[in-house]
Amino acid sequence: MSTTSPETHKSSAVKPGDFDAFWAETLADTETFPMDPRLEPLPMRSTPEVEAFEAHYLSYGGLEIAGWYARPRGADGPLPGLLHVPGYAGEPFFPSPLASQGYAVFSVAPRGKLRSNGVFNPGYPGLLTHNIDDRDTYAYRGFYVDALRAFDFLDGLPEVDSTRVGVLGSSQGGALTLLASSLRAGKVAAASAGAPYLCSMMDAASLTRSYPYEEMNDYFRLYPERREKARAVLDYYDIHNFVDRITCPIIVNIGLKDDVCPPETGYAVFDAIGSTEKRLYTYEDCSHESGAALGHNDIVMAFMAEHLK
Amino acid sequence: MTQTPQGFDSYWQGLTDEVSALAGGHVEIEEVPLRTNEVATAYGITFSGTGDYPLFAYLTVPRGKGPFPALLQTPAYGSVVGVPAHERRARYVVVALCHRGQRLADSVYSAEYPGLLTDGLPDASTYRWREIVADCLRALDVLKDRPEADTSRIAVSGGDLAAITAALRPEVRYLLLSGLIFRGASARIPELAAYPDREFADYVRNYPEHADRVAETLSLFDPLAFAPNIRARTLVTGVEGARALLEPLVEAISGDAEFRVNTGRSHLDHEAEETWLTERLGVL
Repeated sequence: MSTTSPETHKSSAVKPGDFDAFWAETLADTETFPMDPRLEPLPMRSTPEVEAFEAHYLSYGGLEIAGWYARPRGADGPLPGLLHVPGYAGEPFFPSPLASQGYAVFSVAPRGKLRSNGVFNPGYPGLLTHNIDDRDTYAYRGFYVDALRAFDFLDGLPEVDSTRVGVLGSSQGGALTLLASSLRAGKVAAASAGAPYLCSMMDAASLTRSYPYEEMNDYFRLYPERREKARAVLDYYDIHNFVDRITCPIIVNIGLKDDVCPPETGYAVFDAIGSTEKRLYTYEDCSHESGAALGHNDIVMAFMAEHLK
Repeated sequence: MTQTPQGFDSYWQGLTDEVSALAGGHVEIEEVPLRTNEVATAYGITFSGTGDYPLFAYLTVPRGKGPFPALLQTPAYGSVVGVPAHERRARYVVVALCHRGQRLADSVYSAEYPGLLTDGLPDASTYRWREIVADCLRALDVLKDRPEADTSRIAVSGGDLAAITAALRPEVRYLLLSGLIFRGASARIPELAAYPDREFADYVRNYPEHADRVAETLSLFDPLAFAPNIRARTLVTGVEGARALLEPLVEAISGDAEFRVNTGRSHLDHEAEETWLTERLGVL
């Protein structure tokens, strides 16, 4: 269902007039809950080279969020930091392999994922359309804040050099990378967003029959009368509407045959990114892994090393 | 010649006997209107596994007149099992199993990630994956019993669990295999640097006194040990770097088996796998 010229796609996402006010209010509400960051050693995943920890903090609505943290053992001096944000259905990446490259790495499990799902657990499928027709209670309101607070968690650790903290992830992790780079502009030092999800969401659903966007098609098939209300809600959450704020160096990669996050939406969000130091990598005949098996991960790590080390 | 691990036959015969005792057990089926679409009807099915464990699977049935080729999707490593892909729903009766511990089958036990790969080690008798294999065999039996399923055209897709299921259930005619974890793992534990396989290395580093027993247990799950009993036509896919592990497997499989090296261009690789499956199942 992809279009013949995905690079020319114009997003139908429209930034609402009170978009900034809505997110300022959301973040102000969050401040009523102190983060209360905690780290507990995890000997099972620690090695002679890397110390691993289980992490917890409080987020929007007072929900407790979990994550994994790893750092080089015995590191001398402030460390560059990397926040890894997760994809939609999978569990967070365990960060020891990245920590062994010299980074302090935090990998977060936003609400709904295992270990952060005691209160909020819409499931998969389910998360994408949970309260999709109510701006104030839509699933991603708290979820987005969880990712932002994950950045704050890492940024606030005493061993982390807060001038050298990067963000990376793919798919939903790509979306959350763009979000953190937007709402923590000036603090995020470098970002890598792969196959970004949650961009031009209504367009994406019309361009694919693959999950997770198929959740929206399922939902609108059963509740067609809710489509326009949902469209208005999603404009508050569409990553396309955040990214003009991004100022850090950033790379984006997309697969030109991606049936999960259509390349049309990847091109459009890349165009909308505010940073002047940005680069798009496109991969022919690649679907959602978007060049990972063609060496893109090496490009990401070289980019992070250039900007953070 | 594949060397069979010690105790292999009795270990797996015991399991198949346990599962056989559950044959014909009650299966609860309920349509899921939210996931039913123009190509297929979607159902949630619940049934008991060994130990009376409550299991869940998605069942999708193509629109139109059956019977249809039948596909069991054995679960990948992770907490979530998705609704089957659109193109598969249109072509086959699909059962997508959630094994015990995965979401929707976690009312009694919730798997941890990382953690599931080493749950119950070091002993084979307590290793969690023995029960998980049983879940897959139960799911295949449930699929076979569906009136919409053409039992002469049964396929299984997935990783190690798909290989083991095909070996223990000779009615599986076609096997699409990718993403193996256990292949050769028992001999390489300290070298396993990437998760999820690294879970084995973590375990042995913390419990070095169990290293030999862990290796013995993992060898019971190596698809290579099952290969002589796999009579299905098989496609194994993997990266070039895995050739040394996968080619011996392909050669040891009793059925007509081939190895495809992935190009790294995931759309092309996916299309090749799906085309192989549709051609074998007579859908194209």
